[in-house]
Amino acid sequence: MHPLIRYVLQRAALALLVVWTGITITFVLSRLMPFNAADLFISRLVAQGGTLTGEQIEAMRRQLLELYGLEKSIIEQYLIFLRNYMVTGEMGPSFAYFPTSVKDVIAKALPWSLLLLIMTSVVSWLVGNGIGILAALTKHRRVSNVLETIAVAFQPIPFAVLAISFLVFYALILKLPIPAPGYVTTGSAIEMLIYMLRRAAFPLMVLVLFGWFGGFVSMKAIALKMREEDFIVYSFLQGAPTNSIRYMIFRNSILPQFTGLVLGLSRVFIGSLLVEYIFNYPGIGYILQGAIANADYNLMLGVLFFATVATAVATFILDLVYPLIDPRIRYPGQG
Amino acid sequence: MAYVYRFKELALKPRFLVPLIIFISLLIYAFVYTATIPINPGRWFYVPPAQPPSPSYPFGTTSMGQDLFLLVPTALRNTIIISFVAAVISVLIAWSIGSIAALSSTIARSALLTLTDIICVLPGLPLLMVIFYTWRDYLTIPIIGIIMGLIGWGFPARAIYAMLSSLRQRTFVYTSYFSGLAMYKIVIKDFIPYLLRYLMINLVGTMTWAIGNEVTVSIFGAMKMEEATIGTAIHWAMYYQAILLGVWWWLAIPVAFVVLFVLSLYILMIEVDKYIFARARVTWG
Repeated sequence: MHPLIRYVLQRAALALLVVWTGITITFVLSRLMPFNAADLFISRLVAQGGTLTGEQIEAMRRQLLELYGLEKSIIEQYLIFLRNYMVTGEMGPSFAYFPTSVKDVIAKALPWSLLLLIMTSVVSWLVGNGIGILAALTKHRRVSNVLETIAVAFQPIPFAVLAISFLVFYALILKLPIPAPGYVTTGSAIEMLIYMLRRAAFPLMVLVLFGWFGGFVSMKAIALKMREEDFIVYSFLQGAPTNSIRYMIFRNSILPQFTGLVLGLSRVFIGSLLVEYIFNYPGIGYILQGAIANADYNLMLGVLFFATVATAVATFILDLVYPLIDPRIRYPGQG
Repeated sequence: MAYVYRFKELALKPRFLVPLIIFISLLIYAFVYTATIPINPGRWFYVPPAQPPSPSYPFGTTSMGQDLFLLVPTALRNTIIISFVAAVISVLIAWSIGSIAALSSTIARSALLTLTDIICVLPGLPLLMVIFYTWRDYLTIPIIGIIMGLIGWGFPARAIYAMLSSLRQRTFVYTSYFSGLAMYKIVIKDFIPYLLRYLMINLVGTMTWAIGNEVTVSIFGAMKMEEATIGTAIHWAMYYQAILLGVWWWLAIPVAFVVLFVLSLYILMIEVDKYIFARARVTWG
């Protein structure tokens, strides 16, 4: 088998395995809850809903019992759960956004989150590595050292703490307004996209502001080391033009950094959840907060499942792009 | 090449001394001082609400009538305990899995590495939120740490595996082996310096990871909210609109303390690393 095909198959298998693990964990969590989620849900519906008729409640109850399938054996329950999540996408009703189903709530929030997540990972990776390579190649040592000191000082601080400090700074010192929650659905798809980009600009700015340190620090270190590699010194002595030497340094230093883009995803994901909530951006983080505030277990489990799928798919896509960048994967054993 | 450890030089270096003093005073404030507080500082209305910092309330009071001078050290103590327990558990798991994977047969290795990959990719934060929120009645501070440790060992395990499998093939290890050094001596003299170094880096890295997760999960409100931690302090400050009401110290003081703690810990780690493992740097060169 061609090594490239084997590589792709391996990665796909891993992605599937991750998704399956995610579902299994979700299933185990939903069955281990110290109370019966279906009964809790029904009792809260009855307590809250004067607007619901008896038949509606009865229908809901049947749906929930089908979903949780509590009277069947545990293996059957597991198979039904797998079918519901993987095939039909049926995850039951959401309580926080009743009577919308979990599937619809997440489907509405997902594009917003994906837009922000992808833009943030790519932009902060580009910014970090761009500044990193410039700092390694520049003659202005003082500027690059100051930048590095800042990055090293900020890097260990947890993102949540940085985001909260930024919020205090933004709201109290700059006295700027925080965007209101909710969003409007405008006419065409293009208009909607422009509106989404406008909404995403602010959270994106916050995330990138605190997201470039890691890429910067490692890129600078790698590029500085690369400058002293034999092949660079050799081409320098050969009299290669400065720009082509710089390109060689860049091309070879960016390679290990690409892994950082994959590994940074989970960090960006955590950060974007929080920033969405703090700055009222209508993504997964925002509905997750609503789910927690309203004890909406169905929605929480749904978000957990979607987060697993999203990270697995994103990792898989990045794995697929990797052979384009690193020839050692295309032609293993020859380099 | 022998390396002389000049302890005095290290101890008098401001880059080491200043974070050390900050770190120790934070520990004293969080662990010794809180033991002398006669009341539960998480209770409401034992002091006048929303007082700005003043001589009688050095850090001010919250809108719920809690004294931040008492609340913040308690919160810091709990957060430190959570992160430390998480770090110990995750390092234990990461080390066992990483070293078994590096030293065992192909099948066991690929199974363990796949497991590690899955743990790396699984989104820890939503998982922690669901677990903490569902079982919040049964949680205690150490259990929170243990759960975090059980989820956060993926990346350290990868690092340990990579380090061990590269160490086994290094020239100096071969040199020791072919010179007839006993196996246990190779482990002590060649492996342990590297391993200790990674142990420290892992511990500090996982501690900051756990602090970040604790704060994030608590801000979302998916935590045992009655326990005072840095995250729950921030959560309640946001819940009661501290920014809108201008009670900025309610947010700023816990944030400042956790930043001080993380930074001093991190700088201490870097300085100790530079000092103790100078020999490792020489061989890396």
